[in-house]
Amino acid sequence: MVPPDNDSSMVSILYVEDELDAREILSSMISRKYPNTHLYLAENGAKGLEAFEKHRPDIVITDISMPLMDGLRMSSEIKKLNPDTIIVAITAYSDTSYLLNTIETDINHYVLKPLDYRKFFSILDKSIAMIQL
Amino acid sequence: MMNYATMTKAELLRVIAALQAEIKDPGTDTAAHSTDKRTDKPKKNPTKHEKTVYSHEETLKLAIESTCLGTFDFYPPTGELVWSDEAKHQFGLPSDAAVDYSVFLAGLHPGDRKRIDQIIRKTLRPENKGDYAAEFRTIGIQDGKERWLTARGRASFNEYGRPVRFVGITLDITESKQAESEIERLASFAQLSPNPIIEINSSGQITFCNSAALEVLKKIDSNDKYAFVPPDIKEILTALKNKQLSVCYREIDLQGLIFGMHIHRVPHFQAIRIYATDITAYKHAEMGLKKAYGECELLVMARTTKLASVVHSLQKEIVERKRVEAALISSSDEIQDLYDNAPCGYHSLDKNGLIVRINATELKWLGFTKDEVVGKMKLTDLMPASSIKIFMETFPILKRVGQVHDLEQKLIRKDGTIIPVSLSATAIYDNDGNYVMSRSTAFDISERKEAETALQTEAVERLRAMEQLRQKDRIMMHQSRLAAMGEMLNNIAHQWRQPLNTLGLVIQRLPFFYETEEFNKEFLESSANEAMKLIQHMSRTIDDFRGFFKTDKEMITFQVNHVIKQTISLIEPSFKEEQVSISICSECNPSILGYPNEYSQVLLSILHNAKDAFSGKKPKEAQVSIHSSMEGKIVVVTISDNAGGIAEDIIEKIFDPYFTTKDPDKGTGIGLFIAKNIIENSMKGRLMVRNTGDGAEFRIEV
Repeated sequence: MVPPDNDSSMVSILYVEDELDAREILSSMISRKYPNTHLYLAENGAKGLEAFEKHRPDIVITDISMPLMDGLRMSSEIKKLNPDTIIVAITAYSDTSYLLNTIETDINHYVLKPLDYRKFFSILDKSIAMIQL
Repeated sequence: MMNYATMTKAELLRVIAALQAEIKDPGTDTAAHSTDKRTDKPKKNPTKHEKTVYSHEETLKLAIESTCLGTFDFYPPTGELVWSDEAKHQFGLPSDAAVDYSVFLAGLHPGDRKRIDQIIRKTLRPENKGDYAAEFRTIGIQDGKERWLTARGRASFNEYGRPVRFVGITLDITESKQAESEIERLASFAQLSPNPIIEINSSGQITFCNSAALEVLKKIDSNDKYAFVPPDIKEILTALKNKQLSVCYREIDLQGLIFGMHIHRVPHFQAIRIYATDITAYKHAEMGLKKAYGECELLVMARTTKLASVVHSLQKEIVERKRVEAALISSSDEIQDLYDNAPCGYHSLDKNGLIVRINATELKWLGFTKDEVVGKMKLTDLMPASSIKIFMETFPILKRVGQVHDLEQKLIRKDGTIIPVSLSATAIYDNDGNYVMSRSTAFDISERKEAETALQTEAVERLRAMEQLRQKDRIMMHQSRLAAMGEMLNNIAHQWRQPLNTLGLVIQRLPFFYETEEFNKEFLESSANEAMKLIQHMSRTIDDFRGFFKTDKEMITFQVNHVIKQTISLIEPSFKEEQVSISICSECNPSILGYPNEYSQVLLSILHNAKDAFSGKKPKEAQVSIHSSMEGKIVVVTISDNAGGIAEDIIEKIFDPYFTTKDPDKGTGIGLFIAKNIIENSMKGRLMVRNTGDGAEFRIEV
């Protein structure tokens, strides 16, 4: 079910999530799905920004509501540093209403919680393809 | 020549002494001359010296005669004694009487005889220089008169120390002696007076104080003579001196002894005399008398007052009687008038209930004439059925008991309309105790009835209004409940979002792994465990919320800190989402008797309020702190935020119902109103709010 994708060897991904269980499960799934990517993890917006500055990943997957710095602020900082970064937000339904404005500008894609792997991976596939173009 | 007659006794004695000295001075031939002298006759051809002596002797003799001095000349060797006439007179002897020493001794007062004899014997001894001075009494040898004499003399001695001559003078001092004793006697008046007498000089110093005064001082154990001097003596002295007063009276109290003092000025001696009299007994008597007089006066007064009041009441009685008499004359007309035109109805019923008397007022109400009613109608003829029933019950009671009060009855007017009346009646009996007739009053209570009806309508109105209010309250409570439920739903959504997401991840992982080597029993079991853990967590969350929504049926004792923790667990996710942190600080673990779920609802309302306060004005680190402590017996929980506080113009309104600053879809404005109600009405505590500077602080005291 998890086809290794050799084309993504150049791609690096940063996954920011404060919830430990979700972070562990989803990170293991991403690693399995995209074995040739570099996956970096961070537990909040501030740490995420730090990791971005260090590793300059191509794709950033982030939760929205997090302590210290939320996903939106982090995204806007990241876009300032590198506007080409593809940002995928994982968001709860209730967040969307006030997300809509920022989604236009800073966030490239969003997936709703509870997360559906098929949708999520299709977005990731697209994003990786964009980068590898 | 000197005028010896005007000389004092002392001056004379001095003159005599001087003369004697001159006599003695010529010295050696004194003895020879003395022979001549004895004859008292001058020699025919005297020498110059003899002339001088003679002249002196003449002078002396004159002096002696003019001053009633007696002379004596005694020759101890021979015992011869020569006395002048005056000397003989002083011993009560005639001029021609013969005298010698024994006569002298015999003439002396027996009390003085021995002493004088000894003095003379002593004088005649040479070692005593021969000076003689003595004072003694004589008893006239012939006239038996007592006289006081003073004597001066000198004895002269020969070369062998033998007395040869003793000369001298005697002076009758009886009168001065008498005067002296008179003075002494007069002085004794003051001295021995039984009343204290004090004399003071013009500067206020005591110059005399008699024995009675000293006795008094001794009695009061004092030696201050000035105790007798009145304190205002200076003023008294001035007044007496200026003759504003001739005598002054003062009373002083010497330790219980009271003295009345007459103070006189004696201008002749420049002295003030105080004559004191012990008036203690008098004063006591006076006081007793005064008291008795006072009592007597009171008695008389009391009697007089009593008498006056008796007279007064008698007068009043007379006036009253006159007035009554006058009134009686006009009363029968007046009574009839009063009866007929009283503002209430009067009637009387005989034993059958027949109207025997009725006044004009009641007739007017009913619309009948007197002739139509009196003796023709029973009261029941004027009553509707409901009133007749009451009348039948109460009329026998009136006849038996004698009175009935405030019966609400209805009477029918001639035109058929009804008049509500209040009837009271008393029964009149004859001497045998048989009922004769009633005496009844009737009051028109139409107005009262109307008022009562109005009141009733108003009460119904009020009840309805209250019911409406209650309804409104119920709606409000319902709204608040809905609002709370909405909040809860929101909280549950937050609580569930993460575990739902994770659960999704776990479940979707299964097909993902299905055809890999990792998909085995172990993987399935661990996935199932993970999923169940999440499901159980979600289930617990629902239980928590269900618990919260249960209403407390009765008061229980609960731990405040526990309720705080429980409440926070419900709302923590939504706070986290808003990035508002919550901290708890408990000084102790206090318990409250009350409704824990309602208390939790209060905390929730306040916490939601705090969370909402951060929207729009988010500080760097949004924080809500909950602090629990005890202040005496009161459990105090404060919830403070750093969201900037509440505007001063609305802080007093935040507990008002329907007051809100939020958008209509976010707040109903009753959360805090309900919270205050719960704390202050259900739990008898207090809920307050204040601004701390960087935020608001709610304070719950239970």
